[in-house]
Amino acid sequence: MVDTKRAEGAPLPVLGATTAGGWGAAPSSSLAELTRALPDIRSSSDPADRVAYARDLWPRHHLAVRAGNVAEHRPAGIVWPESTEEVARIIRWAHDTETPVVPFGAGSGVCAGVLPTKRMIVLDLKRMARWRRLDERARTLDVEAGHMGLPLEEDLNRRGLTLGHFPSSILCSTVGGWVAARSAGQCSGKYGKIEDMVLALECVTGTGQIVTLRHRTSGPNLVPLVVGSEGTLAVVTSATLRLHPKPPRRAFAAFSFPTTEHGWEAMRAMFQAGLRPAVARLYDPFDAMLARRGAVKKGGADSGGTPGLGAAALRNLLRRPGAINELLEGSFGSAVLGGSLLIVIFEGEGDAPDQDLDRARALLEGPAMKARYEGEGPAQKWLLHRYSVSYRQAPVFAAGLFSDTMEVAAPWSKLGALYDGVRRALGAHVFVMAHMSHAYPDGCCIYFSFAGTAGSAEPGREGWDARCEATYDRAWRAALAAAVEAGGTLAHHHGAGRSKAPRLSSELGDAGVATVKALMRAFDPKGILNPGNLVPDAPTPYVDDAHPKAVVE
Amino acid sequence: MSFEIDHASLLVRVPGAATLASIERALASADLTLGIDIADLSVGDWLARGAPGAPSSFADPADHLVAGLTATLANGSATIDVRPSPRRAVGPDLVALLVGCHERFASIDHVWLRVHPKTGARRVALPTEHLDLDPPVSSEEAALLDAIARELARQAEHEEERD
Repeated sequence: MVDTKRAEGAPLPVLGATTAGGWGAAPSSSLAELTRALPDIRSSSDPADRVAYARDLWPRHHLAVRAGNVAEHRPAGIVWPESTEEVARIIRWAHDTETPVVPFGAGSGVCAGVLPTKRMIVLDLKRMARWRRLDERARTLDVEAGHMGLPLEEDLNRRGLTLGHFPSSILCSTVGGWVAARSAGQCSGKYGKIEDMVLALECVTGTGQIVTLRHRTSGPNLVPLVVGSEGTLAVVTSATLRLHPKPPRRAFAAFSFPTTEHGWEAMRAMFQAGLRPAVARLYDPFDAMLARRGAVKKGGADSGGTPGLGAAALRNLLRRPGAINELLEGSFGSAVLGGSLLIVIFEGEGDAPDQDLDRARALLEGPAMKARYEGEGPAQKWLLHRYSVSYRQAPVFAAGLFSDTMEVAAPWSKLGALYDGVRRALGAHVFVMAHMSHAYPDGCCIYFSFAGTAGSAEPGREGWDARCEATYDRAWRAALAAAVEAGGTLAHHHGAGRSKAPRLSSELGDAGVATVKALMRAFDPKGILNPGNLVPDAPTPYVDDAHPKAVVE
Repeated sequence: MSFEIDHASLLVRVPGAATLASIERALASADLTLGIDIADLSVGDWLARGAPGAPSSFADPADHLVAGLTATLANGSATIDVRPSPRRAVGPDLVALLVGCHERFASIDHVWLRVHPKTGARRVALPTEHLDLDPPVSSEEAALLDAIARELARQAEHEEERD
């Protein structure tokens, strides 16, 4: 990083202006103009920094990187504001000069919410990581948007508090990123998603105005418009979040079921009976088999290896995903693999977790639910390794494969159609498994994990990586169409980004998309904030079907 | 007026013009309830006023009040359709343009509301007494609300021109 933050009396470093050689196209002059206009704000146009900020963790990017296209979308530069006032000055300058800006947290988004152009300035908020105000009586915290997830939770725990938000990306995500993408954590069953925790947002609109939006029950509430807007309406600079007492006690249990459907009926029964397990995770038979073996969950963050099976075996298996999926999905596969597995964790004070677990057992072990109690072990083991699985992606790509996840949601009455439809659509192209880890009284999220490999060669898609990309794109196209067809939502907590934006009209309708665009004009009249994101008809790099209506399969 | 009850999901789809009392009567025959203090209002008016009498969403963070809706923009130019879902992450939550906004931006045609078993289910209630859940609207927020109204009107004009 080239640090242009001017220490008192020190001259400005000049390295950042160097763009010759190395990483391809030179940046536009937008960062140079910015540093001239706002010389006291830390910034860089160093080629290495521009590469580092060229993308988020959208797996399609990983395929491009493996194919040698390391950073096709480098920004003009990066700025690191340290206060809301600095953010406002940057945005006012960008507004005046019509320079595009994309807010940036920790870069762990998976839907191409960050995809710079060469004129774009990346606004990294991680230097804004202070606690503004802790109100221990009301149990609220106003915290700046750049605060990383895990240290926030650890600091709260030391004070006997918890936010209750544990996304699997907690080690590599920020408060602002959570808000931008409508993040969900592993304990959503008790504490809700991030949108259920936000009491107020301080943000900077596209004109550079600083505004505080407050949740209110009996009047207009602008908070839900900015939560999930993925950097297109305003730059979130701080969030006032609801806190809870750190639970002193937990109660654990696991149950197996003959089928996945039996398992989700058990989840539905619990949530509709008023039980709120902090954790309720249902694994389909294959995912459950991995969990029982510990193949996915035992490995630590640095354990290497592909999940559960060797790379060569996986490559061979994944050449015929349809046949494998068909075999494993049926009752035969379910019986061989041992059925689905539900792990449940209640937490709270005193006897409450044990009492809730007793109620859950009485409900699930009745004759209608067909649950078999599997003890505490699987749930305790899951808790110990709860973040490990997020670090298994790189070895999969290194092995010549690809993997990704898709999180969709629907009311309980449509869950079966959603599960079957998306599973069938994905299963024609990739190997697919699923778990359900965010349940509500009226519905549930299904989290599909899939892995694939190169399909057959075709004109223009001869190379291995190009054939992997073709398989990847086909799988996503089919799965998103199936989700909409089944009455589901396209995304539950990863956001839409540029990867799903071409399909937004199919869920929101043309009027819904036009309304979102009207909101963008209201908050950001010149369209400088993350332009191209959440817009179905914006050019989408990599993906062939940015305009899906014109695509003929 | 016809009400569509989704028993599996504990949701009911009702017209915006239906009164809360009539919905409650229909639900009672299915041993269900809205679980709110019933006012003499249509459901559209009730939501436009911010759903007075409904428990705070912060009392049970895993639950919510409105699962989906269809609404007509204020000048009647277009219909927004938010399909029912327990949660979603597909951009701004357009339900916020309806609840508590006094029909400034749009009015509800139909809405999917959460319903509750009359018996047998425990109601979850985390303490919220120290949270300020009803602060006044600031001048900056008011300006943004004006801008939203202006842009939605412009959008409607654009639609009319296109038609």
